[in-house]
Amino acid sequence: MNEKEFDIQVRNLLQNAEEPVSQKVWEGVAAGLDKQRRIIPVRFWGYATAVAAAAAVALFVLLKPAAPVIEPEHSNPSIFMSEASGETVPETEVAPVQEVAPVELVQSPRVKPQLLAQAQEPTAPEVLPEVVPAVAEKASAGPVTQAAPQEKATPEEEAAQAQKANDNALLNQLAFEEKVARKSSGGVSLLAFGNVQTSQRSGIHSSFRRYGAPSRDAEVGIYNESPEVNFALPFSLGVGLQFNLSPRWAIGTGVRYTNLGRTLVGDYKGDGFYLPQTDIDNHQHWLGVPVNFYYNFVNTSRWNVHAFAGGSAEWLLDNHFLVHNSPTDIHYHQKGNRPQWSGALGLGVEFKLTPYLGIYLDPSFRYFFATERQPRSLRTVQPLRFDVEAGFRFSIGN
Amino acid sequence: MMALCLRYMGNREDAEDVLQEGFITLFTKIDSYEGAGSFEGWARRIFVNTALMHLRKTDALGLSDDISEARGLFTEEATPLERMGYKELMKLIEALPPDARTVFNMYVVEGYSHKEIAKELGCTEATSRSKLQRARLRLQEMIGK
Repeated sequence: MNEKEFDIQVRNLLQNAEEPVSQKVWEGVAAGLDKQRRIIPVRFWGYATAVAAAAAVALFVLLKPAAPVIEPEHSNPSIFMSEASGETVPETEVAPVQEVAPVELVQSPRVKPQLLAQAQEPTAPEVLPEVVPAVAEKASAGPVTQAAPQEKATPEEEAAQAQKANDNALLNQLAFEEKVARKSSGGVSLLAFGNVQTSQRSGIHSSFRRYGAPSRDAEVGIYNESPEVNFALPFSLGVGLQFNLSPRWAIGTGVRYTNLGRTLVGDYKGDGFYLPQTDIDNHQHWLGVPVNFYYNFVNTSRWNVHAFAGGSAEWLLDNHFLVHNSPTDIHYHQKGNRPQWSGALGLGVEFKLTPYLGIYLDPSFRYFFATERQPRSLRTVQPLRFDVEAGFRFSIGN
Repeated sequence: MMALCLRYMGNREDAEDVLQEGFITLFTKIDSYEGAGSFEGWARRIFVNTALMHLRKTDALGLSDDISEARGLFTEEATPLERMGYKELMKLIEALPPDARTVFNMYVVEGYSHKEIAKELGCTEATSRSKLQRARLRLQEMIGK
């Protein structure tokens, strides 16, 4: 008897043999399956939404004292009130103020009367040479208001001195605001940002849709992916440019790298071998081009609150599968061939550290549109995602 | 499947553990079967893989290259198996060393190639051939007694 005959005889004896199984095995199977069912996916995006909402409410409370924009030409220029006297002031007497505000300025209500007072003070040019000369020059030509604060303040010399000091500070503030206002109109900003996306720890891939990665036609690849997967925290990094079309409107674009990770169980079909139900780590590397339109509905010297809407096209640079195997792990790579489209809608806030540098937070909801060859990821389990993009905005030119 | 587990594990207690774990894997991953290949083949591979994982844990596979040990030991003399029943043959297989028994089961009964066995067990194809040869000889010796 040769080897082949021996093998065939052994196989015939063993292949279709049956063995009785004790009841405790089936009980163990049932208990094991019950344990598996108790896995509950934990979602973090709800917490992140609550934090973002609380932050937004806090910001609105803080920004409540903000005053309307001062226009170079008043829509109803005939009169406005002098806060110091409570009297109505004719337009002609406040003409110098218009020189101070050639651009749109958003400032607190207390600035206006103090600015009027400053117009009568000779100390202003020392503080703000680039803004104040016109004010001082015109102010020296004649009285600005009928209710001159000095007349009332004359008996209180000490109060007048204190007022001077305040005026210096206010004019510095005014200069800062003017610079910021200039930057927000027709300027260009460089953005550097990171995107901390929320993640659920586990999920179940839809069984109703068949995603293309990996293709079942592929000779080598991942097959029979388990529908239950664990997701890593997705993150993005990027740079961009934002063009201010007007004080209200801006458009932004750039490049953004995104990393998506997950662990799963699946079969790996290799070149001449097959690994069933093996642990696999999957990391996807995406490069995207986002385009967003911004509308600034609050814009002060320190704060900017805006809404934005836009879309993004992303390309899959590498879909890397690490198949755990003994003694050496197997690396399997795929590339995407079609862009992943998404749309976003959000609210954002920026804190301006200087006229040239701001830090911003843009929470948004982003929807990823399904495509025929969309690789499986967190985006296929949860196409509507809550993102929180944070970054720095550098003003680089007007 | 119990017979399969018994062939790999060599004793009923371990075989039942593997069977239980294999069925849990099978039922929980049943959605992932997309019809590529026969279901029976897919299921059998899950049980084989489960058995292999157990054997790896107990380090029963001690797979080193020992080609010289087995080379040339095979003889053409063989005891006729026709006289032997399933239970007797199973007892002999259970008596094989775990590493040789595993390779024998994978190659002779499940139909794995040496390349696949080498990949699964993390050894060379030569080692797989050596283990198989040794298992055959040992079985033939035992059958002849």
